[in-house]
Amino acid sequence: MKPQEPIPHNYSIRRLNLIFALSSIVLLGVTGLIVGYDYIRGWKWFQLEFLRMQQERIVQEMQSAKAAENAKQLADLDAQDQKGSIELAHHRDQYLSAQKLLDAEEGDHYRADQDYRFAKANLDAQRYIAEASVVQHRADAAQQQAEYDRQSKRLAELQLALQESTRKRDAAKANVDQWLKKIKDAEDQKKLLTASVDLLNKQLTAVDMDEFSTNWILSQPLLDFVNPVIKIDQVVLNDLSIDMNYMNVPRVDRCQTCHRAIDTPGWESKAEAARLSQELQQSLDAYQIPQEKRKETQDRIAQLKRIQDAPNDTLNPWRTHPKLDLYVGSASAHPLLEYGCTVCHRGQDRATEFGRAGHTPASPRMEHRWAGTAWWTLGFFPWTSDFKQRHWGYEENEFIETPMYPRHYYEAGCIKCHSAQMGVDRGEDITRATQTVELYGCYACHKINNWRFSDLRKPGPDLGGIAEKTTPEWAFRWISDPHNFRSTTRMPSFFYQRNIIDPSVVPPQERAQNIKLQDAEIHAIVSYLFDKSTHRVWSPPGAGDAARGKQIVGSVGCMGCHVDTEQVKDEKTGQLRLARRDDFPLERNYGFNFTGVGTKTNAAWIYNWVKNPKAYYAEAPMPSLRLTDQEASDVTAYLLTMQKPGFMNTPIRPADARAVHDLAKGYLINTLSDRDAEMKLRSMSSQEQLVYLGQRSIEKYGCYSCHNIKGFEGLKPIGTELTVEGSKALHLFDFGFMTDQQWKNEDGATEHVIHTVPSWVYNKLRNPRIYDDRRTKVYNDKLKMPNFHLTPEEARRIAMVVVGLTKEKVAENRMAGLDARTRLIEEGRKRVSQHNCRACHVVDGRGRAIASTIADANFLPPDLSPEGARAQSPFLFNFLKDPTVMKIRPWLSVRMPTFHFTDQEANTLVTFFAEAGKGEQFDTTRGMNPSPQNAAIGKQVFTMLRCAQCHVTTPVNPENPPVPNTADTTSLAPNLTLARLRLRHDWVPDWIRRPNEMIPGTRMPANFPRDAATGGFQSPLAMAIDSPQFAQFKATLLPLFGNNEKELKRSMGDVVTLTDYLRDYIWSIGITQMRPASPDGDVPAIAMPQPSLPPPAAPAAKSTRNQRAVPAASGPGR
Amino acid sequence: MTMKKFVSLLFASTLVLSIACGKGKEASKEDQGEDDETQTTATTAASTASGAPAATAPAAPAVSADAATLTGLVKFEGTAPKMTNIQMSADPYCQSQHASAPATEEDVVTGPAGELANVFVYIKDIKGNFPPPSTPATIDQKGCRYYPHVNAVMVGQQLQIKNDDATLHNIHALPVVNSQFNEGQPVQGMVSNKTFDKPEMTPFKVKCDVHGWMKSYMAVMPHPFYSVSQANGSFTISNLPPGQYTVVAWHEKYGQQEQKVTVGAKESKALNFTFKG
Amino acid sequence: MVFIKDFVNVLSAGSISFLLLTSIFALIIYFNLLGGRIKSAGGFAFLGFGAALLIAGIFIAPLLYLGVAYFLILFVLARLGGRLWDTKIGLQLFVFGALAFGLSMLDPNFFLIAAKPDNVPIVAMIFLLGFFTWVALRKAYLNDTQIVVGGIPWEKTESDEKLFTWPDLVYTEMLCMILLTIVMIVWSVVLRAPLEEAANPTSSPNPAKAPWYFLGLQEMLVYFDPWLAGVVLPTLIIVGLMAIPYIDTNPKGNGYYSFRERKWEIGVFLYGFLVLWSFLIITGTFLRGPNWNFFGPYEFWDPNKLVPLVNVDLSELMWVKVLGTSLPKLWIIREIFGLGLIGGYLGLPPLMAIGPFRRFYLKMGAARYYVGAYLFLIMMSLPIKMVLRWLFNLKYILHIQEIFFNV
Repeated sequence: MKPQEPIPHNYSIRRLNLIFALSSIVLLGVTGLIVGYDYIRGWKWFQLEFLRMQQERIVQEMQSAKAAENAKQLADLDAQDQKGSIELAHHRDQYLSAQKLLDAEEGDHYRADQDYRFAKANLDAQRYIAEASVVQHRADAAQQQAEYDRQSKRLAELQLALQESTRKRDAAKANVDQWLKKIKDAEDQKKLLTASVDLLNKQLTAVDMDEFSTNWILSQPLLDFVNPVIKIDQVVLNDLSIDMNYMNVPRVDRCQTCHRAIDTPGWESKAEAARLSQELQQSLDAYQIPQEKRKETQDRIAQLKRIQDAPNDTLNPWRTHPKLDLYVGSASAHPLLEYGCTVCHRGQDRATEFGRAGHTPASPRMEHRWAGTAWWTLGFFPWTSDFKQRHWGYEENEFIETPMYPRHYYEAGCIKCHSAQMGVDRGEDITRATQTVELYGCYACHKINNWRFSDLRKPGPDLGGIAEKTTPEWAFRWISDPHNFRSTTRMPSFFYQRNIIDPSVVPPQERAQNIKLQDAEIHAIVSYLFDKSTHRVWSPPGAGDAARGKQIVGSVGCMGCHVDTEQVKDEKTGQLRLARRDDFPLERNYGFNFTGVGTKTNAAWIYNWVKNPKAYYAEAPMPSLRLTDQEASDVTAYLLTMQKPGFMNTPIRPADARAVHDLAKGYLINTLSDRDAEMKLRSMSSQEQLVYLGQRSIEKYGCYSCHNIKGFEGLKPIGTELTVEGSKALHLFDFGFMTDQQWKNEDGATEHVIHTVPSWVYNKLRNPRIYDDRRTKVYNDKLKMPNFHLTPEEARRIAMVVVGLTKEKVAENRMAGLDARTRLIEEGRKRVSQHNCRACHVVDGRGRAIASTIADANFLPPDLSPEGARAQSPFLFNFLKDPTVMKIRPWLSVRMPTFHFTDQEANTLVTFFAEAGKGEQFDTTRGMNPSPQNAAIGKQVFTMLRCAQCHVTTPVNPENPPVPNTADTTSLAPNLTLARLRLRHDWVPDWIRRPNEMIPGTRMPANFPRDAATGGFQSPLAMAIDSPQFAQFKATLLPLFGNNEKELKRSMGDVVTLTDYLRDYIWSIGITQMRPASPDGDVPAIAMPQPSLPPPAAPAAKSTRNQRAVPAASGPGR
Repeated sequence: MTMKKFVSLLFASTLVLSIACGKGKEASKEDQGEDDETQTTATTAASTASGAPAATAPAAPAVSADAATLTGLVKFEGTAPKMTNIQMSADPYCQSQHASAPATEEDVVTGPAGELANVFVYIKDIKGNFPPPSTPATIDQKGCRYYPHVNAVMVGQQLQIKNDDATLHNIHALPVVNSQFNEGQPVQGMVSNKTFDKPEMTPFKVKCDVHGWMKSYMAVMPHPFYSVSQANGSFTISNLPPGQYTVVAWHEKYGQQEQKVTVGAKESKALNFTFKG
Repeated sequence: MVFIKDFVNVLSAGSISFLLLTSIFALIIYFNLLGGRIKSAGGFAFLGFGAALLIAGIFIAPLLYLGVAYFLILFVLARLGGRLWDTKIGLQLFVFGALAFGLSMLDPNFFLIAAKPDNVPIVAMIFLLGFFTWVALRKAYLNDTQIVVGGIPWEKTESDEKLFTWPDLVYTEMLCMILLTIVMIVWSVVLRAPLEEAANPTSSPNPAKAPWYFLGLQEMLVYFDPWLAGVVLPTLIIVGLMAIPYIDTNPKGNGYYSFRERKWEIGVFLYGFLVLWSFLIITGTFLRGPNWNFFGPYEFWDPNKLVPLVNVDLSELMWVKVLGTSLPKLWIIREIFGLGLIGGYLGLPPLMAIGPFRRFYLKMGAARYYVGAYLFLIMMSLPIKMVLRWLFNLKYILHIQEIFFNV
């Protein structure tokens, strides 16, 4: 049939083939892209870089290991080895015969051993057969038994033969070894010497990544699933789960993938190395490191020294974690395998990229540097060239719910587990931060619902009796600008703030109107306070001498909580400038600054307040220093000289009636209609309008949160609750128009707002009104938070606490400080912090704010670190209730005040000291009566060591207690008769042995210095007992030791027994009874004030109080 | 023709597209390599005094060859405050030691012609590795007084503290850089040995807590070029290698003065200081 | 530059862009497909409509812009006529579109949305949709010119013989598969998966958008009662699509592109698909921002933007505004106007059957006619509701709260 004409093709095959070829090549390329994209990861560069750094360091160490002297020793070892083999060559034949003999012996031994084992096997089999035949009553039972006996005898023979052949073989072997001995010794020593170099070589191969090395091959694209060197490094933490809103997912921390050396010491930064080496050196000097660890610590210090001298500094991410003994180290409190990283630092645990892990920049400059990526990667992913310039391809990722804490906020993470503690043991930053939040009273307006910030007292003074204390004119000026009166006050400024009057933010006519409204509100508040105040009349002081008053204030201990100056010498410029709060230790801001107190209050109030503050209002934080009437009058006279006349000259604009009316109406129309409100206002007099507006303004600004004000008892705090503020999502923070803006604060510093939560909180604290910039708001809707004029450091600290308060729950076993003992300690610490004991004392290693005001360190209040182990509980309880019970340190002019502790509070403190000092609460050893013999020996030792020169051993007669006078020896050291009541029986000898280690810088000399080599104690009496001047002591002591000279010498050398004898002597002379604490802590009685008189009809604004004299009752004061 | 036009137009639009997409963020040059860590470098711990021996060790001071000596006088201008008598009633033994003439304070000790004693003179900026002398320095407590009143010891040199009184003294040294110590010496003739391992050029106070009036000053030097002015105000620093140095004169009450001096080989240079009252 | 951006922002407002697109749709059909002339009756009708727009624009501002843009496009399309479908013009259109898109990518706000990994398919859809519609209508136009002069459509000119499955079918299919794999791989590598924060049932994102293919429906929710827009209309769309083969019995245009022979069918489908489905998806993706407020393509999506909602029901409009009385209690009286309007609207097909569409009625038969008519009416109810909302702020024509029935 006709060949069909060819069917046409729709497409030309040639073109299709061409397309097919091209597209399959592209497809191959694209597959390569997949493999590359999966294989080339940012974190691999970090691991390679770290391997290179390790290689570099090992090569360096190799050079020093191969240093000159090693080579010399190696050379002569080789010579020895050589000599040995020559000698062997000479005796070749003897050596060979010995070798042959050895071989033969080994053959025999092998045979004997095998025969023995086989015979043993047969015997076991035979035993079974014998037993079975007996049990099965078979006929050949006896014959089997005989066979068994025969075989066991045979076995005994074989065993003897085996022992014989083993003995012969060992002799032959010893003979052969004897020849090889010289060569083997040389080899062993050589191995010893090169051991360190061999180790380094092994390490080098482990980190070698050069081309075609095993590591390199193992980490090639498709081969890297077997056992890659470059791999993601993670820690799975099952009980530290992450709350994914509906389920808890275990935390998988992969930070170590880039932070390679985070838990291996040796890669510290120079700063950390310097700090650590100094810390280790100090603990070495103070013998705090046990003997066996000293060598190891010295090596560590040498390593740190090398780091400090190295040419360049290790940069992040390859640095070791600072304070390795506290964080991340395997022996630390937070080992990496149990805690990981994101529990404290937050951030995305499973992320392996810089941006996605949630790194948060601390400043715009850091944000800019992090963000750089080479332009041609279209900003998609950073490349090695970027990493070298330390550009990490950072992009603000608002989808991360828990971004990391930025640079200065690391310790915010502690709060999550340590919120049940007053302070974190070695977290100085966070402890100071929580203390700042407590002292500045943030918890008063912002409810923080955890143990740390609950049941604390109101930070501000009680305003119930303000009329007795000051005048409305002062109050008006104070409320409008407290910092103008006292620059270190904790009272914030509510009025005339940035969003109300700042010309750059508020248009002129609105500014004028705002000022009128603010004046009206202040007048109203003052009128309300003075209208509701009590008007008790206090007894006036006697004639006081200001100079003596100043001397009393300087010496009695007021300077612990108070500050008396407003001028401070600036450390940078050297001139005098206005003082800020953080120029003084935190504890000294507990009481107010004395400057201007004369202008503020009147003599009568000061006089009675200073004598007994609790009489003014029950929760007064100030304790009584038991001042006598004369002392109180002198102090009052001195305080009255602290005047600030300029402050009272600033003019007060009268309350503008229109403004008062509008504001009051603003509140009334919430409930009434416009007409009713207008009618009500017309029915009120201007004074009543002011008082009504005052009440509503106090409610608006929340003054009642920090002050007790009549009519506002029990209201909820005004600020937003901060319990879980740290977990609040970023988009819920109202940045207003301030994102990425710069603004100038009133103290001249320019701040920058970046789009992160810590930055929002920090800027809000620096100036709470900045987020109102450029926003149009009605007067009452404007931001209300008052300005505390915080310095950048204070703001950072408080911001750190706020950011640390998160909703993340941690398993019960991970919360710190929940065991019974720690609860007792923490309750005690809370009382210590609330009563500001650290103003004078050192508690838990911190405190003694008064130190800067007293020149000689030895005249400071005692260091209470060892108090728990030292004090007996009954004594401490009575002493806290009434410090006049016992005058322990006669030379101190500073007085322990009476805090009017309730029994419960005193008990909490006593338990705290006992538990913290690891002493049992009820010391049972007080009743111990020492044997007269020990007491007598003790007396001799006491006189030999001349202790009497400082310590008085006769009881104090209460009539004339020793007056503090440095020249008089009776006031040089505590009276030892009090020791039996006061100190614990076992603590005294320990204290005598090492006073300076317990309380560094104490006046008590170390009579038994440490022996540098052994770390034990040396006794000066050991040699001295034989010297002529101690002859008569020796005479009296000998009979007490039963005339045993050797025993006497030994005990004179043995420091422990010596100190026990001393303690027994002290116990024998101790008094056993103590005056019980008087109920009100022996506080001088003051004339109770008149009941509050009806408020006089005089107009509130201008009235001046006249004082009616009431006879002042004098009381004993000590 | 249309095909070529189509391709060129297509190319133009995609080019525009790609430029638009590119974020054009080139790596910022201005803080190249400048590291954020350096932005807030924590002040390193109290570094040792500048005198720490640097690595380069100059030729060991040739004692004889071209050593120079520095001698001088310390003058005192103005009226010297009268030294009050020390009231030693607190310890009968001490009082008995000064029964004849009561001891006087030693804050300001001036010679007959207005010279000032107890001034500690030392070279501040000499580099070099100087081994400590083997002979120990001594502090003697005799008659409840410290002899000498101002003393200096080299780093690593042994300090012998002797108690020649039949009463209790405690040697309470308050150095700032080195670690403090406070040891009791109850037995007469007892000696305590101490060494300091870190240089501390400004003298620190050494006191006795039992006798408040006992005070003395001690410095720890990294090199042997120092001296204390005698009663006649004279002081000598010998074996000084030639070079240009700053010489510091320190007095416990009148503070510190510095002078620059250059010393040639085998030269004996005079150098005077005056303190105002 | 800013002026152009603001102009485009205003033009893209719902009321203008939608009406503009509808009028372009009608213009293209009349001038470019059916070969209409300005001088003809149809042309005058369009001109008249444009004039009406301008006059109404005096009272309702957006219509002024609409009128101006309308006349502009009218003249361009009229002048082009059939030449719209030449490859040269097509190519120019494409290049102009790509250029406009490329330039607008320089605007950060536009870039933020257009370059968002989720929206890449929609950007591709715009170009692909435009290209394929243009190609189809071009073929239809070419065929129509042939058919008008009695020729045969281009598809028929090809030989009817068979083709090899290899290489014509299978080989080309494989090539497409390879090319598509390459595109997908490069796409997935370059654009990272948009992994956001952990799902949190308590916090919904703002704007909470449906997947891209449902954005059309979500847009309807703005104008209709959720009951209607959520349940009734989607089912009717599906039912309508199923009913097409049974309603459309026109034998012509089978197997070849042609517009004239299936004017009504293609016109209605394209209007439904292009304007009512795809365009609403594009507005839903690009122009709907936080709080479902309307944002121009170059406008920053500011969650704080406040748009006053001042929409009024027809019953309120008539009783309160026009008659000045308060709303009557009984709903039947209150909703008398709504019921009237809707009754009239639904009564149109029988009237039309007697009147102008009599021919259709007879040709299609009662069942087919009425089903087709009512589906068409319901489809057109969406644009009508949208226009009423934009121009007269009319919320519900019928608002019977008592039985939850609103139209």
